[in-house]
Amino acid sequence: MQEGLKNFWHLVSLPDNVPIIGMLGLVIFYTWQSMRKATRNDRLGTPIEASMTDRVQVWPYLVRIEFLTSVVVILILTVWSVGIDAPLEEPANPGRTPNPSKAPWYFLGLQEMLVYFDPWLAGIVFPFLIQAGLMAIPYVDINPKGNGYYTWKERRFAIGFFLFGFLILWVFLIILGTLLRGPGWNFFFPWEEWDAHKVVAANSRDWPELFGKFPAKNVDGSMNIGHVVIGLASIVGYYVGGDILLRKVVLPRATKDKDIVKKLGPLRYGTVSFFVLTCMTMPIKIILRLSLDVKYVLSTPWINF
Amino acid sequence: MSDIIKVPNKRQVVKADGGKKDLAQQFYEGQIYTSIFRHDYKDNKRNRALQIVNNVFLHLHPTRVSRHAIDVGYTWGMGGITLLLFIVTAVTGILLMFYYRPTSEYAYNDMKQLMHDVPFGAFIRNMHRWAAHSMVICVMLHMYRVFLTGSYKPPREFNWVIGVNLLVLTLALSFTGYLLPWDQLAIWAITVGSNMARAVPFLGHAGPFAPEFHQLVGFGGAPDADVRFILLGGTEVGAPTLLRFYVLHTVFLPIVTAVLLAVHFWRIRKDGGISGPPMIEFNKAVTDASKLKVSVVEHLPKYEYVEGFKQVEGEESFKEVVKKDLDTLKQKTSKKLSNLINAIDQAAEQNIKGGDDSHSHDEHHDNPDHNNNHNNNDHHH
Ligand code: HEM
Repeated sequence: MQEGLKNFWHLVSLPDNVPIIGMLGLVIFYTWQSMRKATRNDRLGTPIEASMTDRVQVWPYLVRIEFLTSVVVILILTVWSVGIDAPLEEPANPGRTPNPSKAPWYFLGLQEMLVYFDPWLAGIVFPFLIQAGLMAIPYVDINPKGNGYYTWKERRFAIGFFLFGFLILWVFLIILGTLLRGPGWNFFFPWEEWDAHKVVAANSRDWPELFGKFPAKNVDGSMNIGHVVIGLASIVGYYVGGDILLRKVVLPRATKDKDIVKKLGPLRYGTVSFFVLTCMTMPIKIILRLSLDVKYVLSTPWINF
Repeated sequence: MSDIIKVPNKRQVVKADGGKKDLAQQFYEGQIYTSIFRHDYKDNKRNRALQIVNNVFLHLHPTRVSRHAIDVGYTWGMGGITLLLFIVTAVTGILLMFYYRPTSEYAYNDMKQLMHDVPFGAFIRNMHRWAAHSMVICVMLHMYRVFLTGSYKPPREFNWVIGVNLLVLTLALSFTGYLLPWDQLAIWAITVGSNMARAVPFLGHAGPFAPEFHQLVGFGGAPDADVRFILLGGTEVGAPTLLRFYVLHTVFLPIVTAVLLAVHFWRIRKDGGISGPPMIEFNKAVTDASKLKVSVVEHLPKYEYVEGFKQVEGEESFKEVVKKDLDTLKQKTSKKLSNLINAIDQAAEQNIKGGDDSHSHDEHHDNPDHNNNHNNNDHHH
């Protein structure tokens, strides 16, 4: 316990990790602050921002804020740079792999995904989809309200989904990867000592095997048809079922608009549905792994999901 | 001594009056000051505006903004701080380049020297690293704010898209820089990160369908012929990788980022300045339109907002929607504002009656407050 906490403190105070702790503080503060503003605006009916209708001259009112902010930021950077040295470890040595090997901190969410998905998904397809999905947001969100002020009531679905993606799938996974992942990318509680030989149950089950004898490969190495059928059916079923749930229940309820899907039109709605459901595969796979020890939902010689 | 001396600058006449003016005044009226600033020093509205317009850096701003746009509680100032951090990394980065050589023989030792022997070397390197980390954090928070205030909605959709690309560029800048110290931390972080490239479908040697693709085109399925090989310049992180990442980090990515930043800022102006609730957008439109002497309705940045209502409420005509919307707004606002809205009403009425009035944007091009959304023209007719 003592040793574990000491190690945890060591992690927290690593020069490269200090900013991550700072980020956590800022994210919590801003989330709290903007939600407070949102609820206040919702209660008032007219956003508080709308009361500041007059215009002010940029010189001096904006320029002085910019100037003061710059001074403060540079001061912080100066103190920080005097106080904490950037790390410089031993010279690069391709022959000695450190354990754990971690990617730069902002990619730790993706590295975390590697536990649950094959690299082509976690490292290539997901990053690509995150970018594409972010760029699609303005074109699929046709709600004219909530433009230019904080609100929650007028944009429940958009904000709820974004908060989930940003706070849980991005920020939380970065913190998890930075502080709670040790040798072998195993999970360690803050008070646990890092044990390089920690034995973790190897997950050997695929999803179809929960239903009977449906391993990815038969004993003679050939593909198991039952495996493919169950795996494929589950994936298709997930998208179809999820789509119905989204269309019939989630979207109309969250937006309080029965015709929302019609208003979105097929292209917009299809995009929303695809990105939302694909995004949700991440938490679902995590839960499947942690609760049922599932490795793949479908495993083929070419590609695994 | 009190005769008038004509200075070469024709606009200014400097009086040498034997020390009756104080030093400051002499300076503000002297040739040097007047050659730099094209307006006098006195604090008045005109000079405040000129201070912005006549300065190449400050003129990114309009001369006036709505009060809520300078509310730190609204924007969190995160976009501006990100820009500042980008500039700090650029300046400290150039200083680092004086000492750092991107080859596997020298890189690590140069770093060691920077940390221990070069005067202020450690300080500069620390500042570069901490500013870079902070920039990644601030750009994320900036995106978070823009999302929470719905500022990506029309007419700012495209600026959000540019922003997403800036986010990716910021991460790429940080990632390529991570390798340069050439220590254990660096090469293994980059190894983990770039191992992903192995798994690109078709194009990475461990990716799905790569062997099949390789048979077809002779590329993709082998460690020495896939995208990872192109990225690293070898089958593992080595000397060629260092050079590649150095060039990307110090030349290519900063230039692309700077260009996109210019577009980003330009678009903020063209999209009507910092986003705000409908009433503020209205107010902006009224002031801008009255300055420009062009029709109000066509230049309402709020047009899309109304357009949205039209969509939501189905059958109603545009005019009805505008009217209804204005009515509800009128009820809610102060007397002063409802006067303004009456003015819009009238202008709108006239505009609808009067049909097309030809107006030229270019005539008013250097008007400091000219930051309307031109796209609106397209929807109207
Ligand atoms: C290098 C990165 C970036 C820099 C330096 C930057 C800078 C700025 C600045 C200075 C503003 C003015 C308002 C403010 O400070 O909030 C702004 C506004 C804006 N930015 Fe960025 N930005 C960056 C990245 C992004 C990203 C990642 C996004 C979104 C994905 C984005 C989307 C926007 C939008 C939509 C606006 C208009 C907001 C409004 O009108 O309220 N930007 N940006």
